[in-house]
Amino acid sequence: MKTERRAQWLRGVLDLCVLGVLATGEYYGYAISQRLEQAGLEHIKGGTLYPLLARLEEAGLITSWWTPGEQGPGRKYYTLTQQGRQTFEQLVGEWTAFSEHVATLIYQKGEKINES
Amino acid sequence: MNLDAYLEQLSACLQRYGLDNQHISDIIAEVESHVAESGESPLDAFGPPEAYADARVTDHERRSGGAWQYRTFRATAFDEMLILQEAGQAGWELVDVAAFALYCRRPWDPKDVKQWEYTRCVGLNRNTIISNMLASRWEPCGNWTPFHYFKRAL
Repeated sequence: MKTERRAQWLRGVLDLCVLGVLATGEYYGYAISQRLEQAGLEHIKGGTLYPLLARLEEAGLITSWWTPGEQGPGRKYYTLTQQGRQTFEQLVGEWTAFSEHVATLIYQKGEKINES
Repeated sequence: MNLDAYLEQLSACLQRYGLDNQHISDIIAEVESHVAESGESPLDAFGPPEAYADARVTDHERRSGGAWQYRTFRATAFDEMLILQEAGQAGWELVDVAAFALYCRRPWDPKDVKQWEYTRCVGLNRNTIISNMLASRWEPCGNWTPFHYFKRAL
């Protein structure tokens, strides 16, 4: 599939996917991008991920804290807030309904729409 | 570009765009931490430092609200005209000048954004300079003795 189209789709649901990762536990930035890739999504660049995390944090949906590294830089961990969990559950409902509408349209078989 | 050079440039850009130190050190630490884990070059992972700094500062300002976006460009009397030329083309309107700082604003709504040109006069006779410039439609927009700055919408 054209990567451009995939990128466009992903842009619409990346925040939901990140909230989905954080709904399962505490993760630092790079670990979030790995979880997204393991789920089959493409590689998300740091330049996309961290601005998104900052937006979610300023919106009060996630919270973060730094842990010191043994050697070298530390890790910044993120988790959902109470508000984040509510928003996530609401978005999951909306996404499910939306994707079902799309599925209804594209998987229809044996129906002739232009029957006259 | 190695990591130190990248972080230095990113930090300088974030400072020039007027972000506070707390946010700057956080953004720098994120980059450092991420590339230490992923093994990528910072340029591959985050893009050019100027563009990444611009994206982060713009994001931050957009959430702060209001019709105007404000930005402080750090500058000296040696490089400020070049900075102003670029800023003016990008729609930044100079509203005041202080030592090493150009205070600019730009409407959030792209429909309202205008381009600006700038010029500078050097001299101590402020009143004469200003009235001469006003006669040729240049609007004064700050001075830092003995430099006087003027703007004109393109």
